[in-house]
Amino acid sequence: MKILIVEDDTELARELALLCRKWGFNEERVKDFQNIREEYHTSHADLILMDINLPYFDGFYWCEKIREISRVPVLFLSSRDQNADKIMGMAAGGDDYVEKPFDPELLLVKIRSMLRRTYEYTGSDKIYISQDIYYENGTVAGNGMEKELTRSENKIMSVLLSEKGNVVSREQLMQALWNTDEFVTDASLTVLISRLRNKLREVSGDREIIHTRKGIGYYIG
Amino acid sequence: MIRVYLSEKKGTILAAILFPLFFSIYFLYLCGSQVYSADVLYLDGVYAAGVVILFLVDFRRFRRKSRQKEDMEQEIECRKEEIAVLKEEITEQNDYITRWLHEVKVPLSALELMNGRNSDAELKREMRFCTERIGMLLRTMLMYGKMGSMENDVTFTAVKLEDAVRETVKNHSFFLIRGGFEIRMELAGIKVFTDRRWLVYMLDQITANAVKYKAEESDRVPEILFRGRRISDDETELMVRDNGRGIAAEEMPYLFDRGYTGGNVRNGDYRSTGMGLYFTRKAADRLGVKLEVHSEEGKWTSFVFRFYNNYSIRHE
Repeated sequence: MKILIVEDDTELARELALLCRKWGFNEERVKDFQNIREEYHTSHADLILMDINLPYFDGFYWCEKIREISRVPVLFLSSRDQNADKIMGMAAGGDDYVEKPFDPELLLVKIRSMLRRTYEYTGSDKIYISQDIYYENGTVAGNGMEKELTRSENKIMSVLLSEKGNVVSREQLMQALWNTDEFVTDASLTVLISRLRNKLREVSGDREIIHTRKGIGYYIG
Repeated sequence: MIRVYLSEKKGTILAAILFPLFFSIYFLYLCGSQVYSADVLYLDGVYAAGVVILFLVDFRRFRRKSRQKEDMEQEIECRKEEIAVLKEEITEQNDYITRWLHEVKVPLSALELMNGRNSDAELKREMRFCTERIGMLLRTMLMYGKMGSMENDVTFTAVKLEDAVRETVKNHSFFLIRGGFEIRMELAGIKVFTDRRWLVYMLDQITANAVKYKAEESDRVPEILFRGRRISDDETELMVRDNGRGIAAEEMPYLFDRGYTGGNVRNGDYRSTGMGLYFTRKAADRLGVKLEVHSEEGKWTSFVFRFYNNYSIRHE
């Protein structure tokens, strides 16, 4: 899956590119902001991240131009918070909208759901934690058993898996939960992790999946 | 000017002429031999002289007043022009502020993403604290830029209190998590008729306060309670209460004053411009929302919003 990044700020464009690569997507950054439609055409991208404030013409203009030749999903990036912008975005043919500064996790969720809708893309639905244990659609399975995870447990799993190999701090986990309206306390987090670990142990044959790095956080190796 | 004066004084002049005329006629022709015509004419003369002097004095007064009026009218014109120019400048400034803020959001977004790649956990946390503060200041400033033109920018809808509160909590999530806050919401699906963005803005300022004035002692878990209550078909109340340091009785009257930063000087974290509560009150006034504050020093602080005109809301 290829994502076309239309953002004229070099630093931000580079960060977006790095995020896309981290998420397992191919990416291309637009160089000539006077010929965005052309660049899209030659890129054969599957999704476009479109900044609204561009030199020459704005994101809405380019979205309309691109709509003339394609139904590719377009996600607007904007620093303007007007409701008018959201409406203009949809009217120009855009599919979704994200405000700067944005939460990378939210961006990923939106990208994935747009790709899923357009291409019946199942993406990284089945994630293998280890040889015989995998995580898919809110369930962990292994050893012939399946355990369904709660919303919070799902969130924790997806954060730990997206940072596989790296340690994720407690604050990061709490922030991820708060972003989905679960305003957990430190104590609640401990309980959640403990419950999650129990479920994982059941499908892993008593093996520990989530490891603790003392004083720093958790990780899935 | 003389013509204006004379036309204004038409009535008086007429009376001034007719009065002696009648009397003269009366004395000369009706009283006959009992009165000397010379005396009557002499009296007329004195009278006429007196009247002319009075009119001259009055005319001078009239002239002075006229000049004053002209001067004032000119001043009013000048002031009107000044006001128009100032209004232009304010609009220009607000536009510039808005554009500037959107420009700043770009490198800030880049910084946040770069920090996401920071492999030094401690540094990452400290940088995040800074970027979150910058983000918060930007958000506050953006709304401030719109306050001047609120009449043009307000959209009243049925807003679910829970939605507005969730947005505020998420806006402050970094600081609330860092401070170990427990969030309690007792909002029961209640809706109020107001502008959602401004409600979130006001709640943002109050929440920022709750974070700032968290209790220093570790004897309690810091907590913020958001409780909604329907008082009547018309009135709905939203209370935001924290168990922080509270506000001293002496400080209460000045709480919403512009630039008031309070006696409690907080070292480190989160310095204050002293404008947060001032803007909150301003916004509340413009929305027709009543805002009260109660507190017990050392124990708790509670801000209460009262919303009116909720008749049209269909409740779930």
